[in-house]
Amino acid sequence: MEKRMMTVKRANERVVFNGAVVFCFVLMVFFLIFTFVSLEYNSRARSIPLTLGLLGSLMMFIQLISEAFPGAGIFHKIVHQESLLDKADTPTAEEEKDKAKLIKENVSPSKKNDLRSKEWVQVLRLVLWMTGFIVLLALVDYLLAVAAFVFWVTKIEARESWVRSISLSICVTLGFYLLFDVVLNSQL
Amino acid sequence: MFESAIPALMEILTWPGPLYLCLGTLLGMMFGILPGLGGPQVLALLFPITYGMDINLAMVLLIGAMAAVPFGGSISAILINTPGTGQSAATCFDGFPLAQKGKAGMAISAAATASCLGAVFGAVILTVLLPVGRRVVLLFSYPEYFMLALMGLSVITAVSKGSLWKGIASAIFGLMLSTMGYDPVTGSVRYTFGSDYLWDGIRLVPAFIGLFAVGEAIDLFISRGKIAQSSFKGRMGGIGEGILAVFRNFGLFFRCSVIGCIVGIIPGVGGAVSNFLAYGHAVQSSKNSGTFGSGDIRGVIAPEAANNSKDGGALVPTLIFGIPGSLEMAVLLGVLIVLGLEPGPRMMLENPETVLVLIYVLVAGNIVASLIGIFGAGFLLKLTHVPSTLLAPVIFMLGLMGAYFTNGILGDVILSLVFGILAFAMKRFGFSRIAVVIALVLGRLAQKTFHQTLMLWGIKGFFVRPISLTLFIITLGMVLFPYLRATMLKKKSTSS
Repeated sequence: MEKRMMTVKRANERVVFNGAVVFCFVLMVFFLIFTFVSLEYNSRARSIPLTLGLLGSLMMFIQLISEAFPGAGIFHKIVHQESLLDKADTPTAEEEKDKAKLIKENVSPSKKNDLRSKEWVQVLRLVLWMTGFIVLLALVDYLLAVAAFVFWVTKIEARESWVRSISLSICVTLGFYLLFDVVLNSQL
Repeated sequence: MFESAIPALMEILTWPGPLYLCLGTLLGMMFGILPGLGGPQVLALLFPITYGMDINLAMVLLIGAMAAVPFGGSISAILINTPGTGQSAATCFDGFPLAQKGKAGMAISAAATASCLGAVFGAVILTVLLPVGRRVVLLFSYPEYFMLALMGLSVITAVSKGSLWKGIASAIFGLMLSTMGYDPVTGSVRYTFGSDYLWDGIRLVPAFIGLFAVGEAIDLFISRGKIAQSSFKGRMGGIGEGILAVFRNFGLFFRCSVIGCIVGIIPGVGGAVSNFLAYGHAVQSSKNSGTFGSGDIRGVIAPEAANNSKDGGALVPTLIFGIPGSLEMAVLLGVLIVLGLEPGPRMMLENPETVLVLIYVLVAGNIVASLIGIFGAGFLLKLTHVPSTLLAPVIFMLGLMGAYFTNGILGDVILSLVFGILAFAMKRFGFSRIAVVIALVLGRLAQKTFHQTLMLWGIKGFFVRPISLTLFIITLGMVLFPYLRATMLKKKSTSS
């Protein structure tokens, strides 16, 4: 029901610019790049990638139009066709969980978008931490990299206490040493 | 194949087989108990560790973990009203009310017995169908394999949750990724962008780790808080009563096991479907359905029988045709390919012992999980009280280090991270990760057999052979059916 209301609300908006639009755009660019690159290969090698690329580009273009311009009715019908086991009115487990979370936090659904942008900032920070881990892995021993990552993410992102962060870091590092060096005898 | 029956059994019973079985089962249960984590995650994380192991021992560890996941999910469904996996969701309806009435032990032991016997049923069906399947697949050649791969992809997109359009787009995305790297049929190197790392294409190990472990861990971290929102606090009595309840309702158990098997055999239909179908059948076939939802033991027996027998069913298309019957099977298929096995008819001819080990472990894993569950449920449940912000960093490290451990190449870790971000975005915006995984696994087979068919028979090779043509018609039907159904329903509603 809420999904239908959101759909009706979106249909009244002229242009939408959100994460879904950006993701569709990125996928469309991916398909276009792969399509153009496939033209460099011999005819047999490019047959499948070219077909997939053209199909994928077209599909993502239509998806992008449907997401960005909710008033485009015909695209909406094609793109939002449910699969065999789906019913439009049945909320998914994810939707129920989100709804329960919003009710618990006393947040109206209109503020859901604000929550989502905060989530994306958190995701970006996590990605940066993992990138830092990869850089550290290239420079120092893997145990040091693991210990540092677990400690800093737990302390700074999860905002846990010093004791918890250090304890978890030590336990995980010890566990990895036992698993990879002792049990599996890896040469990392 | 059955001449390998005793040697295969010895693999499990001879040390360190029992150790790997117990370890795999315990890990599978832990992953099953934690919502958001399940079969694909535990397989993705254990996968790198099995690299270099004896193939049969690797199967013991992996299948043992996979077999234990559904029951792990049921424990949290019964004790904290939160299903650990989608395939245990229906167990909440009567499991938690039973726990609240002080009958947690009865519920868990009934779930354990139904799971165990359901798995045995699934394994028996698998054992019976495999030799029949061998005869059928000898009729298959390149066009049939291509059409099977196409059908496998189409079925998954047709039945995956959410928008069909996005499901198809996800499958095309996965197929596009599978074209990267060196192609032995055409002799060309595609989409490496000057990188030596991409010569082998997208490696399945880091891709799976990223799609399932890293992506889910990001989601887990963002969600914050503890997993257990409500919990049962009491004793775990009534174990014997629970076991007897399964035998008192044996007809229901048998019918639900059949439902689970059939659902498992159909490629792409997940465990959650079998769970709800079985529960629905239990309610509809009951003379006094008013007790369902408030602590009826049949409401636990039915879904548990189905969600464990479905694993045996799902192995049928996976082993016979190399087409995954479920998401876990898709990951398992990738594992088998990387470990040097070729799923499909050749596997049954060349590695019959491994196939039998797989079947035995499916049963043994459930037996061990049932025993651990009955006596250790309370202890395992403490995991759900650990804040997700503490669990997630551990899973990140297990995932990224698992990817690094496979070949010792940083490129694998970077690939895992990229796929992790992709998985999170796909989940958020309703694109199907299942379709991407299956396309990645089936993509190479599809391309190879496509070109081989063209070289031998030309384009008509797909349509003149009866099996290939039949599979093509079924595939077309699967993709077009949702649109046709929507049009028919619309015409019906406008005319009424």
